[in-house]
Amino acid sequence: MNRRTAIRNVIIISAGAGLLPSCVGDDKSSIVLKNISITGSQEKMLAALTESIIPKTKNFIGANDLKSHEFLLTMIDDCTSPDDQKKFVDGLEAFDKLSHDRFGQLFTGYTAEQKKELLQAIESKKDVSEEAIKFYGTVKRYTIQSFTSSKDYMTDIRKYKIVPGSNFKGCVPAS
Amino acid sequence: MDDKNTFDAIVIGSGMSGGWAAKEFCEKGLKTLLLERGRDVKHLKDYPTTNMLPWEFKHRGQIPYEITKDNPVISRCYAFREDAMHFFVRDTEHPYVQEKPFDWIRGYQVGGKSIMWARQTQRWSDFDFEGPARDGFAVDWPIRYKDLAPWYSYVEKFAGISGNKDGVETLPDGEFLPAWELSCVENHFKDIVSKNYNDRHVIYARCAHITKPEPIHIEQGRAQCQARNLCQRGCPFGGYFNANSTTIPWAQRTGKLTMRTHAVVHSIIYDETKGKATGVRIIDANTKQATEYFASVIFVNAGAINTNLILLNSSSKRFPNGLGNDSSLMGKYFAFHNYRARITAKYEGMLDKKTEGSRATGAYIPRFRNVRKQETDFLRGYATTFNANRGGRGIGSSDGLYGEELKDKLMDTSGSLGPWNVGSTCMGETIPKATNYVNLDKDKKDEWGMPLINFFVAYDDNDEKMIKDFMEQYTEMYEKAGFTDIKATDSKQAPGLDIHEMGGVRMGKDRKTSLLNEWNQLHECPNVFVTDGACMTSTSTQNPSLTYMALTARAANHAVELLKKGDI
Repeated sequence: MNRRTAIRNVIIISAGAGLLPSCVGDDKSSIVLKNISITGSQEKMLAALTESIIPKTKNFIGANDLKSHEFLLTMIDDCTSPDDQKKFVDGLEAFDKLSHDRFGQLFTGYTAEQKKELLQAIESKKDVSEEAIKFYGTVKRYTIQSFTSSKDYMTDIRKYKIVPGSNFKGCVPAS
Repeated sequence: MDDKNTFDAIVIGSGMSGGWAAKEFCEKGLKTLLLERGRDVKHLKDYPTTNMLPWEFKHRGQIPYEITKDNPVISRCYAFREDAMHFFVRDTEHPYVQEKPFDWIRGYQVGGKSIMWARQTQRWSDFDFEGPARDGFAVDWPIRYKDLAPWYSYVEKFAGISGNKDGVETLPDGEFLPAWELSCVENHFKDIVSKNYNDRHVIYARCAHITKPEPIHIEQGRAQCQARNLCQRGCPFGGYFNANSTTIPWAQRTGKLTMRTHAVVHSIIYDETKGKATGVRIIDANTKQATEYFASVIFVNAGAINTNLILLNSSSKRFPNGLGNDSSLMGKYFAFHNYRARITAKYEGMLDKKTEGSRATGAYIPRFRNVRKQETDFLRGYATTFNANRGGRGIGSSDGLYGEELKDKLMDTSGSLGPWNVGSTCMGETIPKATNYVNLDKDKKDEWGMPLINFFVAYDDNDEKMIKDFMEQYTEMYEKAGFTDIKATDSKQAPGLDIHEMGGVRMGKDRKTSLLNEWNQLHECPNVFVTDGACMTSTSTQNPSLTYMALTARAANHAVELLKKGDI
C-alpha cells in the first residue's frame, strides 16, 4: 500500500465511513500534490476558509485573489513532515466535522454570519476540539504568509525594494 | 611529460584563498592551472536567483522537507535557504564520518564558499600571533603581525573593505573604504561600554563591501554595494568580495590562467629522485578518469579539511603517512570557533529614534579577555558582534483576529515601532589540541576513490568556561546600558557550524612540531604551499578569511621569488 492510499484510508476511516460528503474522494482537487491527497470539496473549503481569514476588500486583494489555499497546500505538501501532513489531513476532517456539527453543513455552504461565528468560536477556543484549533492555526499562519509575502502586499504596503541603495541612516526621528 | 599538462604553478581550489594564489601567479606571468572539484560559476551569469523577488520563490525561502530530512547537516546552516541552496554541498552528495559530531559546511564550485560567506574582515594583531607562545598551547607562530601587515593592506585595497580607523590595539586598522553608520543604540552601547570599561571597545564591524568604489574596483567591473543583503546569491553589482567577481577574472584577463573544473584532486605526486613534488593527480568528477598535471610549485587551497585530506592521501615511499608528514602531526591540532552562545535583549530608550535604510554589517567588540595577561580561569577569549535595530513596524500577534480586522492590522504601517532589539553572538577562540583531529577512514571511500574524512573534534572545558564568562560579562554590560529582557542562550551546536575550521597542517618554526614554515611551505617538501585554513597554528577570534587571503598573497609572491632564484 503506498502512502497516498494509506493516507486516503486514514481519511476514510477517521471520517466514519463516508458520513461527510467531502471524504468520499470521488471529486478530485485541481492542484497536483505529491504527498498528500485532498478532495475537490476540501479544496473548496480551504479556499473559503482562507478568504474568511483574509477577505477581499474594496481597497485590496484577498486570499482568493492570491490563491492562498494553493500556496498553503504546496507548503504542507513540500515543506512539512509526513507526521505534520497527516495531522493536516486529519485536521481537514476535524474541521469539516466541526462545521457540520455547528450548522449542519460544510463550511463552504455557510452564510457569511455563520462563517464569522465559527471563526470567532475557534479564535476564542470555545467548545472546539484541539485538533480543529490546530488545523485552523496552520491554515491561518500560511494564509498570512501568503498575503504578507505577495507581490501586491510587498510592493504596495511594505514598499519592498530589491535594490534599497546604500543610504543607511543610523539615527533619524521615529516619526 | 605531456606539455599541455605542464604548468608553472598549480593551485588546488578556487575559493577564498585559491583565487588569490591564481591572481598573484598570473600577474607575475606564471602559466597557472587552477583546479576546482565542482562546476564553474561565472560572475553575474551563474547567479540564477540574484534578481528574484521574495514572492518568486515557490516556498518563500524555505527548503523542502525531502531535502532537510536527508541532509541534516547542511540544513543547519543559516544560509542554506531556497535562494542559495544550489551553492551548498548536500550531505548525501559527499558523505563523511563523524566519530564526533561535526557540521561540515561546503560549497563545491568555482568561488567555493566565498560566494556565500559572511564577509566580516577583521585583522589579527600580535595579541593573537603571540598567544600560543605566551599561553603555552599549540606551538609558536613563525610570523608576527609586522610580517603580514603589508599583505593585509595589499588584499584589503584590492578586495574592498569598509571600516573605520578605530585605533584599537587589539584590532589593527587597515585600508578602509567608508563605513556605514552605527545605529543610535549601538552608539549608546559604545558610550556606556567605554565609560565603564577602559579595555572594551564597541567599533564598526569591518566587512568586504565596496561602500565607495576606488578605481581598482571599477577596473574589476565592480560597483558600489547597494545594501541588498542578498549576497549569498551572488551580487549583480559585485558589491562584496567573492573570488568569482574579483580574483579569478583578474587572473583570467592575463591570459595565463587555465581553469580545470570537475577535477577532484586525488593526491600530489612526489618525485623521490628530485626530492620535490612534481604535479597533481586528479580524478574527473564525471568520467572518473585520472589525469596528471605537472608544475614547479603547488598551492593547496582546497579548504581546510579537504587540504588535510589531499595531503594525507598523498602517500609515497618517502612519505607513507602523507606528504610532508614526518612528524605525524598532520590532521591534528584541528580547531574552529566557538559560536554557541548568543545574548539578546530589548531597549526601551531612544524610542523617538529609528534607523532608516539598509546596511551590510553592524558593530563589533574585539576580544578584551586575557589580552595583556592571563586573568580568568580559561585561556584566551572571545570577540562579539553587536547589533541594535528597531524591527520595522512589526505586525505583532494576530491572536484573536480574523477577517477584515486581521487584514486591517496586517496593512497598517502607521502603528508605533516596537522597542529596539539588541543582540550579540560570542565568537570564541578554541585551543588546538592533539586530541582534536581529522584522519582518513581506513575502509570507506567516496565514488572517486578518495578515503572519507573522519572527525574527532569536540569542545572542551575551556570552551564551556568561556561561554559562561561571555554570558556573565554581557549580561552585566547589557544591564549597565539599560537593556531589558536579557536572554542568554547556548545553541549547543556542533563544531563546524561556525564554518571556521582551521588547522591540521599548522605553521611553525620547528619541523618536528609543525608542518609548514613561515612562508607556508611544507618543511619537508618546500615547493608545496598550504595557505588556507589548514595552515592555522591557532584560531584567534577574528573571522579568518582576510587572514587566509593575506597569507596566500604573501606566500605566492615569495614562491615567485624562489622560482626566479631556482630555489624550488
